[in-house]
Amino acid sequence: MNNQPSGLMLAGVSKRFGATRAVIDGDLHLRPGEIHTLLGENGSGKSTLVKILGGVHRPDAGSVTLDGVPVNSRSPRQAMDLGIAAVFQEVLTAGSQSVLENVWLGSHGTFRRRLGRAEQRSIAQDVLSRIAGEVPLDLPAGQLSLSERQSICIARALVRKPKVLILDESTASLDVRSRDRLFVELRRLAAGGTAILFISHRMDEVAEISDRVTVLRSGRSVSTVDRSDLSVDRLISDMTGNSGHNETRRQPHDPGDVILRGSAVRLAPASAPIDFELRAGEVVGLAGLEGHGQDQFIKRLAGVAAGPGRVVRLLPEGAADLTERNGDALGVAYLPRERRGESLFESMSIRENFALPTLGEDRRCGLLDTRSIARRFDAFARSLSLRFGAAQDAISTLSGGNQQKVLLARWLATDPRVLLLNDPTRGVDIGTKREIYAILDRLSAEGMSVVVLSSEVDELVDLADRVLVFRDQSVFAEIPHSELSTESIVAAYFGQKSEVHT
Amino acid sequence: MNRVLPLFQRWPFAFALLLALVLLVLNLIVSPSFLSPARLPGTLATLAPFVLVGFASTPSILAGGIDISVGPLATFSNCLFVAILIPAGLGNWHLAAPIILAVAAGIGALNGILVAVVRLHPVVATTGMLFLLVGLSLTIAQNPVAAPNNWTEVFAGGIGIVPGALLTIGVAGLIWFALRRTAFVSNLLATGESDVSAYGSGVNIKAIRILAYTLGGLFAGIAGIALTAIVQSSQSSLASTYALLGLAAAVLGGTSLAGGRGGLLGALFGAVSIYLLQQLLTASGVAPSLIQFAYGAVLVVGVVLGATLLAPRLKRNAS
Amino acid sequence: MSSDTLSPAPKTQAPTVRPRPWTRFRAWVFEVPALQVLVVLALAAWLVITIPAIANPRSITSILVITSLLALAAMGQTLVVILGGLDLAAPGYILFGTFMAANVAGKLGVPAVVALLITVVVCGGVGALIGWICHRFAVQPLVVTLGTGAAITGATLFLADGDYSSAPPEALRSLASLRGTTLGLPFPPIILIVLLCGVGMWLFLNRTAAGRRFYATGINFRAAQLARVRTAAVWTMVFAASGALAGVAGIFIASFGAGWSQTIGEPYLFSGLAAVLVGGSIFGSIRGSYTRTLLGALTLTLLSTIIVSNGLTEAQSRIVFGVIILAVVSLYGRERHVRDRF
Repeated sequence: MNNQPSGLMLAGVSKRFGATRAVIDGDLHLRPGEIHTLLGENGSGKSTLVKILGGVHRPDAGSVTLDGVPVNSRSPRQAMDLGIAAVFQEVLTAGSQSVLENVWLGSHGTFRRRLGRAEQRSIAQDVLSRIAGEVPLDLPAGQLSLSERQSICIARALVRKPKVLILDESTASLDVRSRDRLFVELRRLAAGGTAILFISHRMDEVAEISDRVTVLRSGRSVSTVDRSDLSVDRLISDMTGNSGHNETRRQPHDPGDVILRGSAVRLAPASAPIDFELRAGEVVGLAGLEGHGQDQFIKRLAGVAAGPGRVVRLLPEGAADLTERNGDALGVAYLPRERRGESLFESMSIRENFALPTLGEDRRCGLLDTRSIARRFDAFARSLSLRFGAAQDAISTLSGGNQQKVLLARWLATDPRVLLLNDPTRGVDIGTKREIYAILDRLSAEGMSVVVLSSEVDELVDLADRVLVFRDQSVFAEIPHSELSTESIVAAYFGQKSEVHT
Repeated sequence: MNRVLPLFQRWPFAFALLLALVLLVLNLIVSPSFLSPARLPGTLATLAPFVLVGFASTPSILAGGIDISVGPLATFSNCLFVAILIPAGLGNWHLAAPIILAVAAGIGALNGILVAVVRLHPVVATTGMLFLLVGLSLTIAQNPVAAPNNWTEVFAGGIGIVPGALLTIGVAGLIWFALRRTAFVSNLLATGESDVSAYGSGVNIKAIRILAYTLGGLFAGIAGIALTAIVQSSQSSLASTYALLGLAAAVLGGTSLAGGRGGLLGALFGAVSIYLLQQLLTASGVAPSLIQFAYGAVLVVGVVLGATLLAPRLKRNAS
Repeated sequence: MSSDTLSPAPKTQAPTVRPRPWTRFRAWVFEVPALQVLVVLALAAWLVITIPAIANPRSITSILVITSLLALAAMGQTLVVILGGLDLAAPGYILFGTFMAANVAGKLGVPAVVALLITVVVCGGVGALIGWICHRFAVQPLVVTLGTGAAITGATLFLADGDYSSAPPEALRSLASLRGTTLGLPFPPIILIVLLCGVGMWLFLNRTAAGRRFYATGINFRAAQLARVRTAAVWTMVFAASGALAGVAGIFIASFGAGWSQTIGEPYLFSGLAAVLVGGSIFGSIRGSYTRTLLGALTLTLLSTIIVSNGLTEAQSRIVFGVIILAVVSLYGRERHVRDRF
């Protein structure tokens, strides 16, 4: 009888990056044949733990063993060779290469291909059809939708027939159908003995798929719970260290005058025109499956994208068309979806990232007044409960949630009447999410209009006065507050309107 | 027009090919004997260093970096052969050729190590190397040293009916073609497009990068041999000329400076286009200064056209 | 905005250790060009120790003037590097400037100020066009500027029509001559001009909104656009400045050398870039400034002086430059490992 514990085991793992202790005491036991979810906020050490397992980082202390044998991967390659396949959040497809090449990327040696062409095709075909449906193998990957590309990355891990499969927020970009297919495949793999580590911020997914859940908080493993003892409230309180939380639905305020209007807006050449009115103090949610037009729509409202139809800002003096340049002057602020690619200036300081669009306010005789900038920053930092070391530190030192708050402050500082937020809580931990919801609630009470695009249905149900659900590049349904629920929104995703009026 | 655009996007070198064909036709109009068998070997021999320096610039760009020291490396190889190897009695082809190629590849590998291991910015690393190579070339051959009869002459003339230049270009092409059959080029393109993704997928990006620069160095060594063939002396002064020409040829040929797109065919047609343009204007009696002006203008227009035509419309769905 | 605190959830941030004094110090050292200052002082000390005779006003002035020329030639390149690109047209602009100084102001007798103005307008205009084209068509500036440089060089040589024997007028020559005086003080005006440019640049880059937005454009182009920075204006102006500054540098270069030649601009491309790199500026990052370039130019000039006075040839000085560039940037200009960009 062999006494070695089977599966992947982390004991007492710690890792520090410069001044930050990302993981202090990480414990995890991933058994073969189970789907184990790792839960934790940003800053809990979850992402670092995943990267350690995936071979990107090495722990400062503690042990990692696979079936009793110590694991010491210095690169994702080495982890792969040991049978650990990780799908990281940051891993993408190579757009100019074919789907087939992408699926097998990294599985070959530097020169030698491990398998013959025909075998590669059949295995890739098999795996892809199970998780993503029909995907043409010879098309350049860049021509596929975001969900299909995410599936390719997952397929990349699956074709290696790993002992341990790690999925780091891999469901974030999948459409609902692909996600369901993936879950079926995961259960099949688990039944076959694969150990699966699953990470997601979505509670509904966690509840659906997990056999066991481990919660991390502040770099430590706090609890491990079996499926049978799963309680979402308990998990959340373990993650935040908060005992209980009342799920308060926002009460809509009486909206004021119309301040933004879109007329005959088309998101694609042949799609149905959209007419839209935004009133002062409203919170409007935008929802839909990935790629159905809500992203394009919010960009049209912001003036960042162009197309048929008009978007005007209604001012006391008259209507003004929105363009890329005049958002500032018209009091419209847009917070983009991709923090790194579209918002952050990583080597610049926190303070500077905040002040950039509003530097005009800190000028004195043509030169910048650093004290004025500092004063404005401090005011917002207090009001949004920002947590950071020093304002001059590079913004890259902050957690995702705090970075998002700095960006929110950046746009609030422009004193907008309309705030357009594109997936503002993506990659943000639950605690900070709640803070952001409270901030938005307060802002709308003060008369600001907010449009929030979100891929999390629960969030919209909590936040919005009404929700526009997009399908096929147009508004399929508008769900008023009285009918707002997870079911009605998801039903609209799939084309069912129930008692909803358009 | 809509049917033509996807063609340009699928084959990045299409634009340079078209340009080269147009210039070839114009050349034939101005000097009908341009392609005559008597002139062809000489024409190809003059063309060969251009093409090979273009080849040498390509792998590093594909890997997501850049190598501006390939020109100086070619002239260094030339000086090494003429000013050191021949006088030292190592001028015989089965001694000199391996030495030159090994040294050139080695210097390429050094560039690769500076970029991949020391993690210097490619412009910085190869600029430093550029200074080093220019200095070394000047040190070993300050003034041009004439070369006695040697085996490189073959590449300026021909072997039977085959122009010698086709051998030098051909060898480089064969090496690349062989590599395309392996996983190397696929790994290379993926690394160039996104090294983070390639790394996360398990590609050994360090090795790929070093190999890319090494390959570039090897091609630069071959370029040095082709250069020796036509100048039959050491020419350290040519370093600055070739330094940036290879880059121009590669980019004109559709290789994207951002990495992940392009290939040797592009560098070939790019170099041919540049060469044909200069030939055309010279044969038409245009003053050298205006030829330079025209070269510059065509480069600018060509790159901008190429970038707009080839702007890869890869993402069909907004995401 | 009210400043009440609204914290529904307690802090659950990963515990941060207060950065130790050493980490703070190290960050500071990399932020300010402390290393460069040290290197300059060390080289100066070495020079004085090995050749005591060098510590005379004439030699010092000579070193400073050569540094100033290099620094002028590298000013535009510094801006383009901060933007994240490279301006390979610099030799062409410089050549045009020297042509203006020698053939137009010198031979044709056009007033120096007019020649200066024409240079600024022409070179700045061409640069502006290039910058606008690169922004509008989303092309990398490398090969576009290469082509532009060749075009300007060709056009200038065509205009010169083989005449390289003219010299700039006395008015210009006195600006860079070793015997020149500035307001009575025994050094030529070019040194003061470059110092003033240094101060002006520092103010612009650090203390104006335009300067900060310029940095932002170099650090993250898309984010800058979305943060309402007028990136088209930034690109156009940076390349215009790069052109104009290089052209003006050409005027001074011709004035110093009392003439010009076909290839006078060429060495300044890579030497100028070397000055920027040795100064420690990083492509497209907040860590880039003209002060660094000044220090880099001084470093390279001191090195040259040491090398030449030690009997080494120009060829060997090139080798040393190469090693220095690699050494300096290896010390603290290393890029992050892939795993840290994850």
